[in-house]
Amino acid sequence: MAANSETLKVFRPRTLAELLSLKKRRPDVVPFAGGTYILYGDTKKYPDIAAAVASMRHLEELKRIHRTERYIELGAGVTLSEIMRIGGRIVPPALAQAIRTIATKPVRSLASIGGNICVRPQRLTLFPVLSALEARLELREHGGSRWIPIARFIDQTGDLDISETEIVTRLRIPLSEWNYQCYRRLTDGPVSDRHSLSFCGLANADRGVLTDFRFVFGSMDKTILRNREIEAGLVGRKVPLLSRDINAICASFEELMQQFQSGFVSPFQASMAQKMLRWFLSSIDN
Amino acid sequence: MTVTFTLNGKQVTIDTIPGKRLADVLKEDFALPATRPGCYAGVCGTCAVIVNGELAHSCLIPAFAIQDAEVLTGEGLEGTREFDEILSGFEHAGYRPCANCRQSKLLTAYVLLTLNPNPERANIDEWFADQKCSCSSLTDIYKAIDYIVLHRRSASRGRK
Repeated sequence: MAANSETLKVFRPRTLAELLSLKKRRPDVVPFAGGTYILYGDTKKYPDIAAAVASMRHLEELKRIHRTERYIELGAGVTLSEIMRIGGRIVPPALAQAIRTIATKPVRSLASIGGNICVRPQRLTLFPVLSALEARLELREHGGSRWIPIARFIDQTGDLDISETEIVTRLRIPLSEWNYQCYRRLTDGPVSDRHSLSFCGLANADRGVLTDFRFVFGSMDKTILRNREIEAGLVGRKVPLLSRDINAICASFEELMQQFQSGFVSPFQASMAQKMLRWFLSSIDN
Repeated sequence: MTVTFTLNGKQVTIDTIPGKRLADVLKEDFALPATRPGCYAGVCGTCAVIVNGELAHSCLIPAFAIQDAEVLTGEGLEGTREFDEILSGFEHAGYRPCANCRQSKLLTAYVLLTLNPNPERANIDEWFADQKCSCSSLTDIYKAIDYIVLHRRSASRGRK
């Protein structure tokens, strides 16, 4: 039997306030929503969980979904299945595409969006797409809260920038219109591993001119790769993009990738990232 | 720790190890044989149950997390009209999943047809494609689901 299966201390806060107060007293308590990252792939009869967990399944405050004309706000405890049920007309298609690549339906019915972005050892599937969509996160602790862009949720070393007493409570995803949006994941199974690579591209074109462009790569390690200079350099170009423009962007991107090749991406991943970017750039027509 | 939840319509309370998987709780504490934990990793799908109306892998749910939940297994659905229709649909279409994945296939069909009474091929693929058992193919499943849908349609016309 795993050492902690029997001694595991379980807290069951009934409200968010109770959870925040618990995290203040016991920063070591691990918030447990779907728990899929912890249990998926752990084949032991008694899985290793943590010394102390706070079960968040009863926190209705974290399961709320709110929509305005400009954004959709999802409680961190909303499951991936629930997001898919809201439907592609409301949820940005790139986000829906990304969710569809995650594990299987029965796993997605347990996994929460907050859990997907709060895993500490690696950045999972939704991080690149939420970064491209420029989602914002609400982080709360006992007596305070702050909203941050998801890009600021990771520090320069790639670790999550969240204090031990804070928890992610809500995600706000802008509902901007994108003429082109796509998410692709390169993996050899339903679960991301160190060989996985994901890409999210968003673009707007109006009267033959590219008016907005974003692309983000995630290697399922800790780093998310986005370069606003390269993105800005493309805005204003005529579409479909000329081969020489595409080649120039891919060359700039290759330079950028080389900075990360020590451990972040393998040569194979770098090559596939180039191909994904080239394919997306070529697919933007008028 | 003590955990109270609803199992197949009845409220039950157990004293269990907090980290014990629901799959084992069902098998060892309630002797429900239809749930068959296979890989213990959330991959094979043979331990599928319905938790709060959603299909879920019971091997991915620790006991402490089922507090106040509603859990349905194949045994709990037996005898209901919808479930019997699925069973007989499987039979008539000549679809006989092996004992290992039988419950997960039946429960998947049950949830799919509850959410979508007229599923298209793509919907069926989405629900069944990840179920890794070599006893049957997607073609067998299409036939079975088509049969159930047609049967339900004609039965509902008959009732009108």
